[in-house]
Amino acid sequence: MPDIFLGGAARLLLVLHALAAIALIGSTTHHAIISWGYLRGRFNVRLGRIYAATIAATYAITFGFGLLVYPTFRYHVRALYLDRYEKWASNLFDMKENFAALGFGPVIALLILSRVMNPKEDTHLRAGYIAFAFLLCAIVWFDLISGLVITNVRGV
Amino acid sequence: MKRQDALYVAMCVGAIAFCIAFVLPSFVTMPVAWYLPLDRGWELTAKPTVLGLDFYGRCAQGLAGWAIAVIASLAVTKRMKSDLSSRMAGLLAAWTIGMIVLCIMYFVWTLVFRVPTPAPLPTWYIPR
Repeated sequence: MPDIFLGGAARLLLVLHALAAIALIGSTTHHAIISWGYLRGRFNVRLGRIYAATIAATYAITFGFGLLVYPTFRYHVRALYLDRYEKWASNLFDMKENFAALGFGPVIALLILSRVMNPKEDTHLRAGYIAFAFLLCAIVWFDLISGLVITNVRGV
Repeated sequence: MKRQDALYVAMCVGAIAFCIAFVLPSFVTMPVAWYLPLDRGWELTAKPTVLGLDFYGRCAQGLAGWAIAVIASLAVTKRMKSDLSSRMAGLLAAWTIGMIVLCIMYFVWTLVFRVPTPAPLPTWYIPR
C-alpha cells in the first residue's frame, strides 16, 4: 500500500474537518441573518464583527483540515473507488472543493469590511456586504451538504 | 478616498483577481504546481503523467493574484481624492458577485458532464 502524506490520520482529520464545518455553517448563517438586518434598520454591528471573525477562523480551519486529508481522499477514495463506481460523487466533490476556494474572496472581504465600515452611515457599502454574506452562506451550505453526501457514499 | 471605501474596492478587485487566477489554468495551458500523492512530491507542469492534484497550486495562484490586486488597488485608491459613489460601489459588488457566480457556473457545467478515468486497481486492493 502506498505511503500517502497523513494517510494514517485521515479519519481523525476528516472528523475535525466536519466539526469545523459545523461551526462554519452556524457562523455564516447567523452572519447572513444579522447582515440582512442592516437593510431593515437593525444594526447589530458588534455581533456582525464577531461572526465575521468566527467565519474567517472556521473557514481557515475547515479549509486547512480539508487540504491535509485531500491526498488520502484523492487516491484511496476518488481514484480507486469513486472514479470507477460513483462518478457523480467524484464530480460533486470537485465542485465542492472549487466552490470552497472561490469563497476565499468573500470571507476576507467580510472580515475586513466588518471591522472598518459602519453599516448605519456607509449605506453605499451595505448592499455589497450583504451580497458577500449571502453568497458565502450559499457556498458553505452547498459544501456541507455535498460533503455529507460524498462521505455517505465513501469516506477515507 | 475614505479608508473603508478603499478597502471595499480592494476586496472586490482582490476577489475578482482570485477568481481569474484560480480558473485560468482551466482555459490556458500553463504550468501549475501539482502535488503527486503517490510520489509525495511536487511538479510544475501543465499536466502530470502520474496521479496528481492541482488544487493546491491553483489556490496558491489565486492567493498570489488576490494579493497583487489588493496591493495595486490600495496604491491607486490612496491617490484618489473623490469618495466612492453609491453607483460605483454597487457596480463593483455586481462585478465581484457576477465573477464568482460565473466561475461556479463554469465548474458546474464542466464537472456535471465529466467522465473521470479511474486509477488501475493495485494488487493489495480489497473492495469493501
